[in-house]
Amino acid sequence: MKFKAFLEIELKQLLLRWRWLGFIPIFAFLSYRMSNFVLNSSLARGLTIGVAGQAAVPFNAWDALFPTYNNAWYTVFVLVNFFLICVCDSLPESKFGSIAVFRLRSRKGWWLAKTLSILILATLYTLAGFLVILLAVSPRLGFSWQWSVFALEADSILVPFAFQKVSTPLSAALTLFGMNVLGLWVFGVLMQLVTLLTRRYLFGYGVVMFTLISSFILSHLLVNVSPFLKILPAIHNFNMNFWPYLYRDLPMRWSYLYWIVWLFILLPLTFRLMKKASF
Amino acid sequence: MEQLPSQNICLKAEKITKKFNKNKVLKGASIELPLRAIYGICGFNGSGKSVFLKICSGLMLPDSGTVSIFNKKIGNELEFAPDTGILIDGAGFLASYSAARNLELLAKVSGKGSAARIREVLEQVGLNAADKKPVGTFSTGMKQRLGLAQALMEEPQLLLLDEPTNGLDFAGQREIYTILSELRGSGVSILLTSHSLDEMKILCDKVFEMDRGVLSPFVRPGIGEELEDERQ
Repeated sequence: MKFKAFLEIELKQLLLRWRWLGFIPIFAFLSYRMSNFVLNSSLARGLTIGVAGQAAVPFNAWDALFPTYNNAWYTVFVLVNFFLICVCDSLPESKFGSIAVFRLRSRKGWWLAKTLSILILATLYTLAGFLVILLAVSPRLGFSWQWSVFALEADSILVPFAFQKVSTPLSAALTLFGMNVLGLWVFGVLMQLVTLLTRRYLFGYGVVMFTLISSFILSHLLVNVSPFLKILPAIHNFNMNFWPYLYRDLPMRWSYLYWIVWLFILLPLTFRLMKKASF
Repeated sequence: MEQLPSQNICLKAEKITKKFNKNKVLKGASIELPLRAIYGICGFNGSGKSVFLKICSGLMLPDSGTVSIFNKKIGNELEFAPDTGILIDGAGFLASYSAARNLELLAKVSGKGSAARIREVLEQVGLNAADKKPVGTFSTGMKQRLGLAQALMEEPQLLLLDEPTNGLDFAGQREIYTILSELRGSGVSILLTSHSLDEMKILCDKVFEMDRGVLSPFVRPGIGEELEDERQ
């Protein structure tokens, strides 16, 4: 009960902030841009609604969702970056948080609440992003539970065609959702760790962005290497399909494992630091 | 220092040291606060008064030394001071919520403090419990009163107060003095810091000075002597 109340405070502190309003223009822009991309690409290929003999719809909302979340530029500079900006000051603890921790009477509970709050926000943020894009582009592109012709033809490297044979758009979206939530959680915890060490949240934010941008560069350097090495850049594990990871021959569960290894390293470290933290 | 029987002591800090980088702020600070007493700590800005209170509360861990509150060792038997209310470094609140809503959230975490008690404590410190105004619009003095209210909310037996009248006008200071004196009368022990020697004179049974990281009895013309006389 005490822990639940503390977690509620933690979430309120992280959610009640104006900067989250940036979500609206950012995702409105992404939705607009991606629906344009799908429409223009489809028109260029002669895919229009109602073409005789087409088994699948020419395009649908999923065709905008996957390119958004499988685009490394968007991932690094927009999707992850915006999330980090919104939660970067979860540590050092606020004055209100300090008097709440004093009442919680447990640093372990404090650590758990800090860690869980990032996971919950990562889940909400990714879920909201998926829903907003799907809802915003559906009036223009239509919605279907099946793959579209646009996706099946797979001339875009950003569409997860590798999964089309074995899955539906929903299951591919769930896979992508899991990768993003885990990735955002890991980077949120990494940011907390650096902030705990430096007591400056901008350092935490800076280190995580540096890691992401470095991994973006590294991902392009690791083109002709073994599949095992290709998994090293963090950015690869946010996305299912993007160059040069297009022909990934490692199963998707490796990306999940990748994030879990990060968590196995980061969570005990943050726990140790928080046990000795000052308020 | 005169040794008191342990059952009469609510706070005992022994040889507390703390350094930040190379700056040693506390160099063996010790104090024993008896039950139903008000002790004051004065000292220059940055002398380590707030750090000392934070260590006593458990919000900060000392490099060495021990703190016992009601005979429980902090950092050993308990992580934070039991049955204690704190106001250290000025309390912060959720700016978009009312005073009562902020206290309700804190009361849910502590598991103590009913709606009636929240109303009572807000009235006690001179705030309107029915006021729905967000805390973000409060003046410094109102925020200080709210900070004191959160410290008193769970009816603790020990109060650690860092400059409790900071930001209050003269009338506000008087009200707080009355509240603290009444609390002492009802059995609460208080350790406070202040820059105001008048405040110390009015409230405290004994005054210490934080000087170069060590707490020593404060004896200056007009203050320490006067207190000594009053005690005798």
